[in-house]
Amino acid sequence: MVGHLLEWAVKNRVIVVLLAAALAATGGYAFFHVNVEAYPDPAPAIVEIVAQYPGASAEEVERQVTIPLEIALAGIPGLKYTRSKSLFGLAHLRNQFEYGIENDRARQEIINRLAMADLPKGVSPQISPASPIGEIYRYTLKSPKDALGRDIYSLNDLKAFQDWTLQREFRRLPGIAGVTSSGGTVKRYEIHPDPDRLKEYGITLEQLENAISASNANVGGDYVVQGGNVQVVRGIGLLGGGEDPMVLAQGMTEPVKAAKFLRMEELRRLREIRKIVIASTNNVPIRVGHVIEGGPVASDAALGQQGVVVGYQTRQGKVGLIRPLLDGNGHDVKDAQGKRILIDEDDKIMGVILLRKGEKSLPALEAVIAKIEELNTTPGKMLPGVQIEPYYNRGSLIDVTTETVRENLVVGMALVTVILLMFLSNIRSALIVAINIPLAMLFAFVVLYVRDKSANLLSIGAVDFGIIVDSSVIIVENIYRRLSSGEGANLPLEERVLRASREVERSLLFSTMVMVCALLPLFAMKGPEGQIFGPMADTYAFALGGALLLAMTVSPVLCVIFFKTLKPERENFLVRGLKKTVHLQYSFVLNHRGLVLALLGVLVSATLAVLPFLGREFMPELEEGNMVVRGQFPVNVSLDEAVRNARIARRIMLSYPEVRLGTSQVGRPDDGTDPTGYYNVECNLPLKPHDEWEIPPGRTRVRTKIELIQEMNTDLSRDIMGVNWNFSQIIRDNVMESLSGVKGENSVKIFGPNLDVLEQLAQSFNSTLATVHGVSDPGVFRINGQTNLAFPIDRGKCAMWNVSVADIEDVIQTAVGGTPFSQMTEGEKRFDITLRWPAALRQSADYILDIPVDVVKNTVTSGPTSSLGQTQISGSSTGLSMTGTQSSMPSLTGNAFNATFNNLSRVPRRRLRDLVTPISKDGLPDPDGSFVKPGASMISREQGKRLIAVKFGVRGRDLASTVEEAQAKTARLLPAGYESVWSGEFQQMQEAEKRMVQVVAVAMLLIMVLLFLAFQSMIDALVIFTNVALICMGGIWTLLITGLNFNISAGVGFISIVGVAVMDGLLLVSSFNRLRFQGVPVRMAILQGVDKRIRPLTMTALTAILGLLPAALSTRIGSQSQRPLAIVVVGGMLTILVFNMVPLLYSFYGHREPPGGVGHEHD
Amino acid sequence: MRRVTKALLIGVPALVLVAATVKAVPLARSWWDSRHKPAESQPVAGKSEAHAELVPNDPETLQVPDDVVLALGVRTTKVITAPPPEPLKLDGSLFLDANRMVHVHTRFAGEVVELGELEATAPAAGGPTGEEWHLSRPIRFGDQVKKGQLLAVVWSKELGEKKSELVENLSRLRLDEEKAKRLEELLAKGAVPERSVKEAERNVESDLIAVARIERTLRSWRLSEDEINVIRAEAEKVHKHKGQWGKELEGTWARVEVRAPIGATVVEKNVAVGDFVTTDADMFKIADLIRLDVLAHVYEEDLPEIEKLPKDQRRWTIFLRTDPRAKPLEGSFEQIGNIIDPNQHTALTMGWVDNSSGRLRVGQFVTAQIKLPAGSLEVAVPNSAVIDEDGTSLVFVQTDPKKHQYTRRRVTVLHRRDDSAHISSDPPPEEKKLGARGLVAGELVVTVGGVEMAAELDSLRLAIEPVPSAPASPPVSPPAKATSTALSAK
Repeated sequence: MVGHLLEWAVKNRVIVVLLAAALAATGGYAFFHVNVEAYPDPAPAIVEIVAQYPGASAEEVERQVTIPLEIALAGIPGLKYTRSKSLFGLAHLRNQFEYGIENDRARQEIINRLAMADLPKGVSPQISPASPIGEIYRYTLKSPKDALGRDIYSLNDLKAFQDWTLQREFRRLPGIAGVTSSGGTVKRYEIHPDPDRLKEYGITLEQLENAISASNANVGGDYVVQGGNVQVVRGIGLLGGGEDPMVLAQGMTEPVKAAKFLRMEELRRLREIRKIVIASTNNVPIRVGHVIEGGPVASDAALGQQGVVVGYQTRQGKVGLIRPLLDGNGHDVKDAQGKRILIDEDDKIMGVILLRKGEKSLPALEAVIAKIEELNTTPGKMLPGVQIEPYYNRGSLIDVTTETVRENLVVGMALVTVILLMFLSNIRSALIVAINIPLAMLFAFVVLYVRDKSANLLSIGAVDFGIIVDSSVIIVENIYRRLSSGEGANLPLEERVLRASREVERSLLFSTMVMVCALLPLFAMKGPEGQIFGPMADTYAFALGGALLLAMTVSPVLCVIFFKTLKPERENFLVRGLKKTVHLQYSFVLNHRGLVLALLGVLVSATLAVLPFLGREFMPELEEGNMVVRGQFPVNVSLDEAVRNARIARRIMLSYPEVRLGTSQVGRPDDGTDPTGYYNVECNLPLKPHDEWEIPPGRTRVRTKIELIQEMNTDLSRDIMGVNWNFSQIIRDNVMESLSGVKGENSVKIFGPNLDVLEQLAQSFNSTLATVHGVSDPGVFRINGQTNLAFPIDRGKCAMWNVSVADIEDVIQTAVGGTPFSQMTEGEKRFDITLRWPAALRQSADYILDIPVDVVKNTVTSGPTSSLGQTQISGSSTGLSMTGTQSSMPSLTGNAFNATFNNLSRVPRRRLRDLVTPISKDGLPDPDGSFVKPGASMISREQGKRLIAVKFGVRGRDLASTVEEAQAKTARLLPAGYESVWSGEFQQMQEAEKRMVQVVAVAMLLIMVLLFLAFQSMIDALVIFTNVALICMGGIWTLLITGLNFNISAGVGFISIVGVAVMDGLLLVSSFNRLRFQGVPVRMAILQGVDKRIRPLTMTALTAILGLLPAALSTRIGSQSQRPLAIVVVGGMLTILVFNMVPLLYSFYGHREPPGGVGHEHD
Repeated sequence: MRRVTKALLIGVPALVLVAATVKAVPLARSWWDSRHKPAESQPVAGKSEAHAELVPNDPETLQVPDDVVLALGVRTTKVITAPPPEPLKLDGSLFLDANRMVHVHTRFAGEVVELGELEATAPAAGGPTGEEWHLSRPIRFGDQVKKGQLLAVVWSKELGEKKSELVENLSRLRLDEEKAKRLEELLAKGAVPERSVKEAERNVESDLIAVARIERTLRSWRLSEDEINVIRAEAEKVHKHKGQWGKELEGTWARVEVRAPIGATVVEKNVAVGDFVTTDADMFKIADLIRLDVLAHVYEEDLPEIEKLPKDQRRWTIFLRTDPRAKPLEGSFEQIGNIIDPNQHTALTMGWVDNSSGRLRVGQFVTAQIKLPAGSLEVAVPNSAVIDEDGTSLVFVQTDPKKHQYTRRRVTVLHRRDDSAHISSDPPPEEKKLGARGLVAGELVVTVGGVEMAAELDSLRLAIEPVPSAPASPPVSPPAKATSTALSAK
């Protein structure tokens, strides 16, 4: 079949050339239009559920929200893990599905099950838009400033604009899943009732709520016909008329006027609320204004200061931004000491635009950028003067990595072309081969484009052009050698080309089949490595297939076209020298077979000896050009304290000129997509391009990034003591957390039922881990540590007053936390209207204990029962007094004519302290005890079991040996009923290695079968296989010398060159067999065979080496994930180039009768 | 021999090669590192490298470098003697002083024919500005009246009849006396029998008794001697004028004047001219508002607190709820009620406030704050100095103001106010067993940076004192805290 293809191509040269041109054109189009991603998404379908339960403690959230959700979700087909976190006011469940389950299907399954969960009132679980590599764009909102440098707009304004306007604008863009918003304040209208005033007027909280709710609605009254017209009847009762002042403000031009207008509109609503009538006595209305803190106000000047105020919901976090002052050219402005002048803002609004899983980031980014441009420049789209200021754009990373890949590609292609020129000394033949590189790549791009797949750094950058053009090299070299040597000069050129092609046709076919078999592991990869290297395998396969097709069609055709005038000529001095050297080399080898074998043995022994020194890891870290610095504060830290420290941290971080700007996020976003508390400070630091890094004073060179991290870590740990600082990058951080469920690269998860024991076990693991060489920054994700102000409700006391637990809890919730009971409608926007006690009445435990509880269900008779019910028989009767007297109690005031006018007796009132009692350690009421109790900060669960995680990093040692030592040291720490699982990168590595070993074994077996089929000789197949062992040794040594660890990238490198190694051996053995078949003695057959094949072998090896040499040496952004692969390829191919053992081994058995097979195909 | 030599020739170089290769690996690696890996970070000029560390032999004390103290913004403040605890706040209202309020009744049921009048001024209608004219107007609700001031006049049939009865009895007495005198004269003359004289004397006695009875009744109706004398005179006049009544007395014969028993304010007026009133009806209520009673509700649970107060410290400050900005009123409470309100289980605490300014109103809601004495074993620190960790409270004490050494101390928090925490200077024994110690006024405690110090101290301690392994079975009580950070230990 291949022969027919060759023949057809040579005979239809015009068609072939036209098809090649068409391929170039369509490939070019595909190249410019195919989507490019910075990094493949390594995660399977992960659906995150966020359920906010405002004000609830971690334990309550776990009990009432997390566990019901877990139960509802259990048993979804394909659901691998459900990992949950329960913390103050938030339940977060991360549901990880098996690889292969479609994201949409997974989401639908989750949505179906959510309806089954029995959750507390008001808890509404949402599906998070976040995905591991979804963060593509970050921005902050810039508010115009007044003369004193203060923001003209309030944080409420900006946040409302962000949440209700910008989020919707971005969500409408193609591919965008949502926008996570952090910082700022979520507006709400707060009513602060004065308990004493309520008492005076005899108004209950319920009455107050009902009155306001009932005064806040619009209704429709159908329509009335007026002559020939109809008029729609409406009742306008919404507070503020339901109008959106912000829309009107957007239409203004002056920020000051717009802000003033917004404030006036707020006051208008506050005024309306105050005017709402709750009750009326003797035609005198009791209004909201009468029963709130401060009472009625005399003038508008006092409006909004107390009583009814525009407040904000409990803050979940705060975002700060520090940036250098820039001049007109975008350069840092420096002070007299040469330091950058920094602008530091403590309270900003930040938006993170999230890409929908599986969507293409480049078109989405283009749309986002266009939208921001439109918003920023079109009048009326934004609040006057407000601007969106981006500070992170995934596109930059894509650009840089694409640039890196492009550079590697161009340099690689140039080097390959040079090799071809050097060895062939013929520009035409070099060009014929070289032209196949772009054509093969374009072929791959066409297939990618047609299949609507994205290209990425690895899928393009890790393809070795040297390898993919091997088929072309061999075929063109053979044609060139045949034609230049003058063989068959009497035949027509087409025939000579065909014959030369056919000579290597079968070898090529087999070697290509071998190569495809070698790449099988790439296709069979599952898990994260499958996601990461799957696209590369695709690209590789398409490029190889394309290259083979081109080698079989375009190369012979171009040879016919360009070699018409080729004259016989001698090989160039390089080839001659090479041949001479190789001849001497193999003569020596054949003369000293024992010595060389011994050397081989030494090499093998040495390799085995150093193999334990080869570290193992999962994946090399991709440099993203930014830093994510996470500070973990004590769990009981307050927002203000964390913000204060974050300010110090920002200053420290920006003291490094390499950092472009810095944001700090204390706490979590308002939508709960990042389950954490105030103790978590996450700083994003976009870095300047590396070539702009300055040499620090007193140094001779710029800092490396690792040095930057080390120095920054030292400064931060020193100045903000007691805080655990971690350094990562945006994508890596999200990916590792998604896959393991723990923030941090590696962790050990300890499972067990008792939170206290878990906590103690984690501390034991932590201290043990600290003693393991290579472990850095171990830390426990604490469960406990959150101090609770717990008010155990005393049922005995409640019984006395007929007060239910719910009554008291309602009071606690309303008084301290605030209960939203209605909503302020402002156009599309809705803001809570909340009842909450004035701040002065809820600021400490003592004040909270004084919160009044109205006793509304208790009944007190006025005295002894005066009469019993009348019956027909008995008539009315008087009962006996239980107190022994019918006399009523004397007046409390001591004077029956001087009674009070107030109604204290109507609604009895107790205080919270009269209904609660502290509980002792043994669970009994302890009146002298404390209400301050230790509590849980965050409860993590996996597959329905509680766990605690101890995270750690590994520095200066490989992951595998470090974890193995740690496992050994911690093995005896666990009591019965508790178990540990080592997860994160280590778990991924173990699983990936296991899968890889299985698939590689199958692939090797297939290759052996193919070789046996090719040679019909097991010994030939085994000898060829020694090349595989050699490249492995070469790869291992190169990794060792370069200090790199074995990882999935390196593993892929090994897989990439197995095919080349086998092909080289195959060519040699088939050549030897053919010569032996012709009756040439073994030694001569070997030397002649090597002589004949050394040029193509060297060329293929060198092209493979040089094709990835730029990637092996590159230190630019994006090169990190390619480097291990490239290093292995270079090292392995160099070894096989220098130490090809096939001739030597063949010499031991070559005297046998050559078997049938590849060696017989040609003369 | 040849074999041995050959083996040596191959073996020795092979071993050398292996050794050289193994040795070459680190060398090659270091070369690579110099190309691709960073050098160890170099100290930056001007930057101190000192970190916070534990003070030797004192695992609870942290030595913090000066520049870290500066960078972290560590602040300290002095422990002070505890101010009095939060005062007890009692809900209450203002009352009339029961001894200063009079219910004014009429002595006789009857018709109100007249109301007392007050001189009043009013702006002259249509006259020049400031021009006033004086007039009398009936007493109204809210008027201030003087003691003895006429409040109302009641026309009492009962009084009139009683007076007439007296006149009639006086007249009968007079006739019976004259009759008895004539009979005595006739007896002396023997014209009548003695029995007739005796009967006449008995009639006089009966008349005297009747007159005295009526006069006593009138006196008991609080008619004065003058008024009774007027009746006597009227009886004389009637006698002289042969049964003709004097016309001048007809206008006052049944008149009952109701006068103010005390100088006070009319707080209730329940009559108008023409009303018929009975003796048990409150025609007026007048009250002296110079002093008002304060009645405040104190919860049963708080009674022991205020009962402990000595008499001279039973003072309170009264705040008007409706006017929180008004100057509070000082006063004292004198009595704690003996009866508990069955509805809300409070007792009344009673006292008074001066109202000479007249701005207080009866029934007005007030909050009475009673100051409680400060605990003798209490000190106060800012709330920010206390670190709540796993249910325990800690502070960092700077033992020497000249050194940046901070010692962690477990303390017992007694109360918390809006900005300060009251801490026991002598914790109870059970707290002491758990490691609590007292704070002394004058000590320096950390108010900023304590949370971070606690975490740092924990991590440093963890580094030197590994946590023992967990128990084989879960403990009943929580284990001892090891560290505090969200992500503890470094």
